[in-house]
Amino acid sequence: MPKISGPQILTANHLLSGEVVFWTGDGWSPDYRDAEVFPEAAEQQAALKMAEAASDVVVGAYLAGVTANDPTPTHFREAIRTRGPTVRNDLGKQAQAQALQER
Amino acid sequence: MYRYDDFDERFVRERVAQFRGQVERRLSGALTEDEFKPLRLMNGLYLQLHAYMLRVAIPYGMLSSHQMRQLAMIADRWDRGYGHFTTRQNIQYNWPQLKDVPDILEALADVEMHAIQTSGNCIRNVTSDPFAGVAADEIEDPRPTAEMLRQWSSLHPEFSFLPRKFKIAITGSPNDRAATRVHDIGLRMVRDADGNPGFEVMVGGGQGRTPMIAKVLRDFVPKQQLIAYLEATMRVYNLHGRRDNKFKARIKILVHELGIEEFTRQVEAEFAAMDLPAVSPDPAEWARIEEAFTPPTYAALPEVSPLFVRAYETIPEFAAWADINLMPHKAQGYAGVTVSLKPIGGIPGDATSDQMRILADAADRFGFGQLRVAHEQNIVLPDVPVNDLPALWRMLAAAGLDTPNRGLITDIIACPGLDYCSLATARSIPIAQSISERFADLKRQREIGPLAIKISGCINACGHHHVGHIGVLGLEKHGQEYYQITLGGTPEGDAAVGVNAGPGLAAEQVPEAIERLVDHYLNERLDGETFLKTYRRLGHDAFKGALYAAG
Repeated sequence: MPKISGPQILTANHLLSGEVVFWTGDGWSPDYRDAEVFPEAAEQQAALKMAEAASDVVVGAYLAGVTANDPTPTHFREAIRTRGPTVRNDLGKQAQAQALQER
Repeated sequence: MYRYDDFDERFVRERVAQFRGQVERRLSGALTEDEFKPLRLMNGLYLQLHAYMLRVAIPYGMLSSHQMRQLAMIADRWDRGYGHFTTRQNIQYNWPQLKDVPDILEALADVEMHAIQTSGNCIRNVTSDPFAGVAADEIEDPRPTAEMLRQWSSLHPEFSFLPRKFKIAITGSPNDRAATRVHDIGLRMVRDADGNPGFEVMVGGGQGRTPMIAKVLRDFVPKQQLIAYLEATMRVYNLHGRRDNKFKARIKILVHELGIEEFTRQVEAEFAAMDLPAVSPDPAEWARIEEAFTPPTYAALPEVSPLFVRAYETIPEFAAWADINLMPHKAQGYAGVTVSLKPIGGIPGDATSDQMRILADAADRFGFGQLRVAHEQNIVLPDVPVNDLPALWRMLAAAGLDTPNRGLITDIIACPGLDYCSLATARSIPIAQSISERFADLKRQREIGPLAIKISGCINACGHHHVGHIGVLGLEKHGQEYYQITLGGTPEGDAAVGVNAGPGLAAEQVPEAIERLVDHYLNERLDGETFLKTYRRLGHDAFKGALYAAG
């Protein structure tokens, strides 16, 4: 797991489905682009505590590093998590995005 | 094949009902995640990178066609139409939803399967030679003992909370196809001076961050005393294995720290104090289990099959497949068949639900309805009449299951890596794919000969990189994936842990680096010398030099 420094987003897995989700500020979204960016450590820790308290909705919450004002994760692990397996474009979030594009 | 008795059926069904209740309580909020997590793990349900993952036990890698069809049905109904066969002869589903898992477990129970003890600090699924019971080189079929081990270790109250996970592998053949020397306990069948079958018991092998080759604990334990002897071994481990540090909790660390002599002394003392008749399995139960593994009724077939010979002489693709993917069978006129799950550029160990059904159909049509999972992440049809091989090959070819590469450079073991696994530090599947594509030319693969490349996406070594002739370990440095190469490992009789060759490589450098190793081998080898033999003759530095030359 990457070290926590700089701006972060909050991510977890949905309890029921297991899907990767991101905290938007007022709910959980499957799309990282909706994620709220927390620039400061105090807000980040508060967000994490909030997620831990929301364990009836999500599990395994943690913070993922991003660049300022951009919710795109900087670490390759987290980038893979926003899309799906790099060896199966037909699976995970990338598959839904692709299906939308093909419509 | 062993069929569940009332006891097996009951405990598996009870566990499904229990887990269904636990899921309901988790969803209602009656159980917290901290309370629920160990319960789901006891039932093989992990939370991975993108989703939950369910690991289903395939005891000693043995499946019926009926079970394989059910695995395909589960893949279609509750997952994404495929499954991943692992180095522990299990199958993993990568996308189940928590709410569906009790139904999946119920569907598994319907075909006498479960996911119990595929996680957690307990005795995991016992693994074995995929050719057990049919191999021409076998002393005796190890599967009755493997089944006895399954029964003994399932829900064993004393060994359900060990210091760490515990893996047992068993083989009945002197040629080790079960990687017994890199397991917590490895069992190799031998005979005593009077010809009675028993087991050499090896202990303290393993991979992970501290790879070790197992040491001999006892060179002969009579078959009927094996359970008691293992019970004694487990007790010593359970008592003295470290629980303060998970990285030092495996039995290999205990054996290493105590020394094999002291560890043996303690096991023997425990064993000597046991009431053997009370601990040993009932002979009637042994007989019941052995009967379940009675070989099928083989037809009296001629040694040579004209149909096979004709196909061999007229279809080069079939001839290549027959040369590479067949295994001598103990019954005349039969062969053991490896169905490779390593198509060129494919994902090692993955099979679609359609492929699973075709494998099940092939097993019914040609092989007594029997299948095996090999730890190399391939499927084995153990009992195919040689006469039927051309028809089987055509059936497999139509489903993309005819890759002729067993034991060759493209028969790569790879863990799921960072494409799926939350523990991984780097991806492994794309590395396997790029190597496979680079060495796609079958003529060249055959020229190279036996060469095992094994790739892990982290130090936990699920991809067995420590015992690859060439091992590849994916790591992370400064936010980038990079890959360490190890050389000279093997899990077989002369087992050895591979030696790290030096600085890591970027992903795109790996195939080229392997090419240099292969070129060096081809230039230097003597007649009939395999990669491993040449490596051992010339030494590590010679290959290390080749690996980094002009890199």
